[in-house]
Amino acid sequence: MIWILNGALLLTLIVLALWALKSRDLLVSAMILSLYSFLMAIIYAQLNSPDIALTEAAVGAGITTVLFILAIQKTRRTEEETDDDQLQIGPLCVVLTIGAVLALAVAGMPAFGSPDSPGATVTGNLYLEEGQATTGVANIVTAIIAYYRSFDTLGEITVIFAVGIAIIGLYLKKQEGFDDDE
Amino acid sequence: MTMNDDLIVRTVTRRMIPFLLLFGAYILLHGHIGAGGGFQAGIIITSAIILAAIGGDLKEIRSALSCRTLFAIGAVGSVGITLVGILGILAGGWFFQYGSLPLPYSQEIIHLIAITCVEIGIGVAVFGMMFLIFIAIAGGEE
Repeated sequence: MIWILNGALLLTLIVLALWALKSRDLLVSAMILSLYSFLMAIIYAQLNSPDIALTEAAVGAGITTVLFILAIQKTRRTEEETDDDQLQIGPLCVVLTIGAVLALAVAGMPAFGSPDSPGATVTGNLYLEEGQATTGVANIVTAIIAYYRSFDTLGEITVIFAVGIAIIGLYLKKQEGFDDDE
Repeated sequence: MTMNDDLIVRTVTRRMIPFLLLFGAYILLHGHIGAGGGFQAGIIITSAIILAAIGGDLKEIRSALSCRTLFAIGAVGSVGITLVGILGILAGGWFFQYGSLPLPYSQEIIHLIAITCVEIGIGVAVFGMMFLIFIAIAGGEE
């Protein structure tokens, strides 16, 4: 039964992605991408990863959509009508080649939910066995984020910090009020 | 974007903000038990404030949380996490090794406290920087 739900969700994802791509109205595209993220969050939740589902729902469906809509409000809502709708052979070949390579790579990956996958045999088990006893944290994802892989977290925070610096440097420098004491 | 004139938008956003903030705090402080953590909590709290900015007065939010303040908030979160890591070195361990922190609790409670501190730092950093992005895009038109 669960395969029906999963299959329907995945098919809807593809349809939504194509719709967002073909839509001439950027606001419609942003809304469809928000819906896409919500369905993705449902899939993640159904795959027993509530942390990722929460992130996808909050970031993908929430903040990203707000930022898209703000950006659309700042620019223009509709795409210009162009007449280059005919198929372009060169880019199509490149896309198909890369797609074929990716499909071949997928064939080399472990099966869905396989107990022999590296994640289930190498490090994952150590975290699952020792995690709660070592860190006292029941949510293994939090234990990995903040303890076992805290260097990765520090790197992510560095990226976010760099984003802040970039915004200050590029965007707000010319606005009045920010450099009022110089 | 001035004061929103629509009564429905104003009322609904005003009623929803406390619940969103409460949910954000819950996600932040219960990240070690259930789903979620600092990143998600930071995003949810940012959404609550963005809702306040959309439904209420953007200028008011801007004056309360200027870009300088937001960058300072984000920087405090980022630097706070690094400091928690450095505390591990000062206590005689490695970077981000919390076990040797001189606190009068058992090992796992110390880990729990340090992990919660890191989560709060992540939440604060994400909130500051994400809202800075919002303000940078939305607030430029005055």
